[in-house]
Amino acid sequence: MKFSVEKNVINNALNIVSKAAAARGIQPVLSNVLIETVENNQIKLCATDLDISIEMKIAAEISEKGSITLPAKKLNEIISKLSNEKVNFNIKGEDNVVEIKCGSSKFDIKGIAASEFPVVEYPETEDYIDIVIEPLLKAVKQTIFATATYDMNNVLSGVFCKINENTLEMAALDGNRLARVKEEIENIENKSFSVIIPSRTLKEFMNILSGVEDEKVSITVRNGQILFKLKDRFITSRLIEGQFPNYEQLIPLSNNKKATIDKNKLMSTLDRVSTMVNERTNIVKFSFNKDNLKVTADTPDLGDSCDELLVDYKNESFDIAFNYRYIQDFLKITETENVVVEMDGSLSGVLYKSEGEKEAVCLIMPVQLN
Amino acid sequence: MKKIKLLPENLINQIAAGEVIERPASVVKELVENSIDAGATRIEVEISNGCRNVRIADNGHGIDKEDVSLAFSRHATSKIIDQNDLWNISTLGFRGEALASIISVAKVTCITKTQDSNVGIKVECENSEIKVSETGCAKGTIMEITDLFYNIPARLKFLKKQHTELALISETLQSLALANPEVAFNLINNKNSILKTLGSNDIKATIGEIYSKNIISEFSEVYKEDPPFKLKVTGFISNPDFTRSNKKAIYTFVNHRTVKCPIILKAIDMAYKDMIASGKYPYAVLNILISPEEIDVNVHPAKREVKYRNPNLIFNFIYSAIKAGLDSKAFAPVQTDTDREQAETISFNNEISKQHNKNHELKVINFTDFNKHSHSKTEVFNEIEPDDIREVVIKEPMQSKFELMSDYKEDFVQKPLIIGQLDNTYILLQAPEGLQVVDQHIAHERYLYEKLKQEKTPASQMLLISESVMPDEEQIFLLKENVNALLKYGYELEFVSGDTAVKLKRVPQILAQKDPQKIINDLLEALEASPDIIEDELLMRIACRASVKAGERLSLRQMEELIINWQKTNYPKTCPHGRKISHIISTKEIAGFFGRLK
Ligand SMILES: Nc1ncnc2c1ncn2[C@@H]1O[C@H](COP(=O)(O)OP(=O)(O)OP(=O)(O)O)[C@@H](O)[C@H]1O
Ligand SMILES: [Mg+2]
Repeated sequence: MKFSVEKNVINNALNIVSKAAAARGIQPVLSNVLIETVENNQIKLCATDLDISIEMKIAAEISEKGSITLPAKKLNEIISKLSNEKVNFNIKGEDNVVEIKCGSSKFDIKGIAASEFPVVEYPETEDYIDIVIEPLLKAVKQTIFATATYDMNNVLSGVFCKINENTLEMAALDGNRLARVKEEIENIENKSFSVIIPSRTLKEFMNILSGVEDEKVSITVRNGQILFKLKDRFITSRLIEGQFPNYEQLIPLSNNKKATIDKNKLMSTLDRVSTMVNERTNIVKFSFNKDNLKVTADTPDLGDSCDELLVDYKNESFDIAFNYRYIQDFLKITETENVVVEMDGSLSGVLYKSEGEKEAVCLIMPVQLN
Repeated sequence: MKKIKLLPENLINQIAAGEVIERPASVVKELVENSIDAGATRIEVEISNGCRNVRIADNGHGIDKEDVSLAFSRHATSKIIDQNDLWNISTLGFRGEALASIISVAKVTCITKTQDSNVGIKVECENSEIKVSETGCAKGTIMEITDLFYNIPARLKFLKKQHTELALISETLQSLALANPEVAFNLINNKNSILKTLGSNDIKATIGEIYSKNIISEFSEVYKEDPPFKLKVTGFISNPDFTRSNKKAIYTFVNHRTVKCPIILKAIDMAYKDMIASGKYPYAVLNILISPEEIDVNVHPAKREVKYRNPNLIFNFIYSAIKAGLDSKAFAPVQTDTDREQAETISFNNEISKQHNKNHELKVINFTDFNKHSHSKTEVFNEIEPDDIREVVIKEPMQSKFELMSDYKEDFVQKPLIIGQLDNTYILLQAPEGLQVVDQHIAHERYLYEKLKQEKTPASQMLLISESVMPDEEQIFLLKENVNALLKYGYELEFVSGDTAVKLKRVPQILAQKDPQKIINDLLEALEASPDIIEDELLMRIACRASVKAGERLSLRQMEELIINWQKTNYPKTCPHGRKISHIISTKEIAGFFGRLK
């Protein structure tokens, strides 16, 4: 194998692909990046830890076909330090040693034969749905924080994702709260699927998708995997099998106590008050009175804190307590000036919404104080 | 025909002896106690003939010629005179029964001489017949018992194997040696000395002589006095991480008398609660001095028990003395002044960097306008992810800030010198003695457990949904039975599917993000414990479930926080189940390994 490639091009590609390489593997080859020459003067870079895989094609001048895997971390480090010139790759002899030359520098790096690398299939012609990236990113952002963290194989550790007719629906819940969002999408061929994507790989996707110029991404589901196809790359993720809870029925429809609150003000109030929060429980108390919200926190033996803010609230006086981090999580993903809080009783779920937003809701269960 | 007859005297004595002399160890006990009562400072015990021959030599005051035959008759004693004395006993013997009992079940030769007399006396007893003659000897008394139980075949049959009897003798003597550190003891079996104390009158030294030299470093001292009640307890108890699986190493003495009394044992038990596993017991040597009229020693044939006039007082006194002994946190790293200075500046800098963090956070948050700043998309995701998804139990800088400040008031926060994390499981820190390895999970568990115990009213997180678990019928019953108790701790259960499955409706706040299945399993385990410890078992499991796990990577900040919290706990040595929390590899040991010790 022999080819040359622009330093910036391969450097950028390695940065992306090596995210999928296993940090420390049971199988050493999973910590490596596969490099393979393909048609049209391109090389393919690929890494996988078997949960997630990323493949990317970049332009190269190929003088001899071939393939090899090289340690992702080392390779990344070497390439990033090279001068901005053409980088030449050349497999020397039989023992999987690759010579990397660039300007006056030269490295010999030992790899593992490409035949040991797991086969990851990236079908070019499946039934893909083309989706505009932006609403997809937004939907993920609005749900992923609510996934459960206790067991990475549990359905609750993933984000439920459903495409049907012209809606993309996503939901996540960890038992304490639920985040659900619906976005309108174009779905000309009227395809549909519903899957549970592990939060870890979803996070990785979103990082990649948010850095590309593509406007759309093509998605398909096959063999327990979800595939994302972009112009120059493929990404796949393992899916979580199982039945996602029927969350729609959990969303209360008749929460009659309604407050409208300035988002930034609530954010800074929480920030101030939470300094006195009991570090193990994170509980803050909300007391609603006419057009007024009082937020308090305390820690035995340490002290307490209190702050008040003007809100739009017309119902009877009402007290309720929350884990303030759940509210913060919601506020962080809110882009509107105001948030709307819809409540019923002190022990029943509370809906947090961005003002004007119908389909994105965050349902947070309160804390019972004794 | 007349059927009731008076028994011959030696039969009476034999029957009575049954109560006092059960086995070779009782002979040793009675005779050594006599030697101690005689003011001996050196006592040698020699065993032979399968524990049936016992020879005890002391340097005590000896027996007067006039007293000698009386000494061997029943109810003859030099130690009390009338009934009033019974309430004021300061000697170990008082009944005048021991020697009479022994001569009825064994052949006895006694050689004794007092200070004043210039000739010794030899007494030979067989079948309770006494023969007295003169002999030359040193001051003191030698009691030679041979052929124990020669005339009671039934007793003989009940003797255990020789090594068992020897072990019992050795135990008896250990106990007497610990109770009397001013007396030098030597126990010889077939010419080999198997137990030897030097009589240095230093209980520490005696403990070392009986167990092993270095053992004392595993002990804490107990000292408490209550002058108005003329109560005093001194001694040593092992630290909670140094235990054994039986109560044999618990020695309790009341006015130098070895007693096993339930009240003291209970006090010890209670004091160690939450610190050692059930089924484990500490080492203890406790010398309790109490004014003689406060106790009745005449309640057990072998004098192994005493009765107290005011048992509650004794219980509380012993309990608090042991607690105080265990509380002395001698093992928390001691810091030098320079360390403190350093700690101060570091903490101060920390305060500043926290301030920085906060600003940074606010800035990024304001920057989350997703649509307009497309170039910042990556940042947005980085922002919502790292800690929100993988929520760690130990809190981030912001929350800890005030806790640190509160400590400034109490006493100095000593910033632990953290070296790093080993295997994502152990925190390594520099202690004055060397390298300290702390198990992160167990240390955190100890901290949470103590916090939970303090906090009587836990808040609970309402759950939106939760998976149901299907325990067996008995377990469902157990859960149902405890529904109300569980509510108190923040658990609400819902029984579903015709009462075959159970779901959580709310959980203690601290467990909000934990696996519901595991929470229920913990509950079931705790409920299977005996009712009086269910509360502790529950709290232990909550603490265990909520604490950081082994294998969880911690930031430097989190490690510091964890270590500081742990060092503040009352019992930093063990977890509530008795597992050890930390281990120190001394600098000396390390230096030795590298040949740096000259
Ligand atoms: N080693 C000894 N040195 C000096 N005097 C002794 C010794 N052993 C026994 N005596 C004397 O013999 C008496 C009888 O001893 P014995 O053990 O039978 O009774 P006691 O010690 O008074 O009471 P108890 O039956 O409770 O042990 C003692 O009171 C003591 O005066
Ligand atoms: Mg006696």
